[in-house]
Amino acid sequence: MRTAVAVPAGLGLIALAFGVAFSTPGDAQVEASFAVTGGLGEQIVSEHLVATVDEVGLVREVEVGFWRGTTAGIWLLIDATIDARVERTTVDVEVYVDGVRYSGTDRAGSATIDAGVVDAGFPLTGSALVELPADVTELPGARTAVLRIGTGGDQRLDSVIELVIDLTALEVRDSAERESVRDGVS
Amino acid sequence: MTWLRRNRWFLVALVVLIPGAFVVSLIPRWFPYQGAQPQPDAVALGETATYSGAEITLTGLEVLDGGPLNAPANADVVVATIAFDVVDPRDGAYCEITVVSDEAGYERRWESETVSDSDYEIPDRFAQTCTFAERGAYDLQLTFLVPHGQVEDPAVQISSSAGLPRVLRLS
Repeated sequence: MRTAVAVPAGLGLIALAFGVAFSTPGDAQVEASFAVTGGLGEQIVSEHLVATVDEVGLVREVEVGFWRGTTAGIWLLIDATIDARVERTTVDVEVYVDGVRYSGTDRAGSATIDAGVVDAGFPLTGSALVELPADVTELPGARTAVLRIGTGGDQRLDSVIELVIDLTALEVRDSAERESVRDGVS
Repeated sequence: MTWLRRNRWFLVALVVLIPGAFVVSLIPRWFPYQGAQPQPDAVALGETATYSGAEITLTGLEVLDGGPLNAPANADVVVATIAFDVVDPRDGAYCEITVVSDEAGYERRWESETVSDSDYEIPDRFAQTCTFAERGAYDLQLTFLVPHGQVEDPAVQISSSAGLPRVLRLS
């Protein structure tokens, strides 16, 4: 009787050990950012930032202020109002498509909101641009691309804002014009 | 004898050990993290506090309407005047001064202006950089831009690398 119980119990414990080993979170899960999610037009509040993304679109050529951006790929154009929640902080915009990270461009300098600095209670309104591959809408994960707005640097265990974007549903325009970043709410 | 009565001491042990295990799990990171957080020490306007080797007194704190001062849109100007008397110099200690307000329902902070963005001019007799490195007394004046109408009762926070985690909160 004891053997009849001991063998299944031993096998069960070994199976349990495998389960524990495989279900233990790795560094990627343990150190993941804390994402606050929302949709277009919603005010999304993280620990550091308050952001409202009004519109996103794909364009082949863009003018922001006096800067004209061309690309061999395609621009993801993001129109947003971003404010610091607690204290002065930088703004960092990036997009993940199927786990691949695409950073906001720094080619437009201070004309775009990305890499700008915001103070608490002083929102900035403007655009951010992320350069994506020309065939991005055909890539796996294009329907669930993630737009992340954070403070840059090491974002492990940090609070970030995320919006899921279906890139395949976006209209592709040949060109778009936007003003440079300005103070205040749009 | 009921099951509860038979196992009462094991149950008592569980009641003690489970919360105990929770507290022990907090020892490596949570308690050191909490201990390293800034510990504000409230000091009233006009009172003197000793901090980082200096006698520090907030002698003036005003919130000025940014409109007449041609401040940037949607900004008021906070002017803080602070008397420092460094009696025990701390070479290499950095000094950071911010304006703090919890009027939004949570605490917000603003850094001082390095160059005035309004028509308010700091008189020449005031220093505009704080230091704990040299013995002697000096008066400091700083300006801060805060959102218009949102900050009416601010405090000035002074922190020094030689004084942390204690910080002064003057108002």
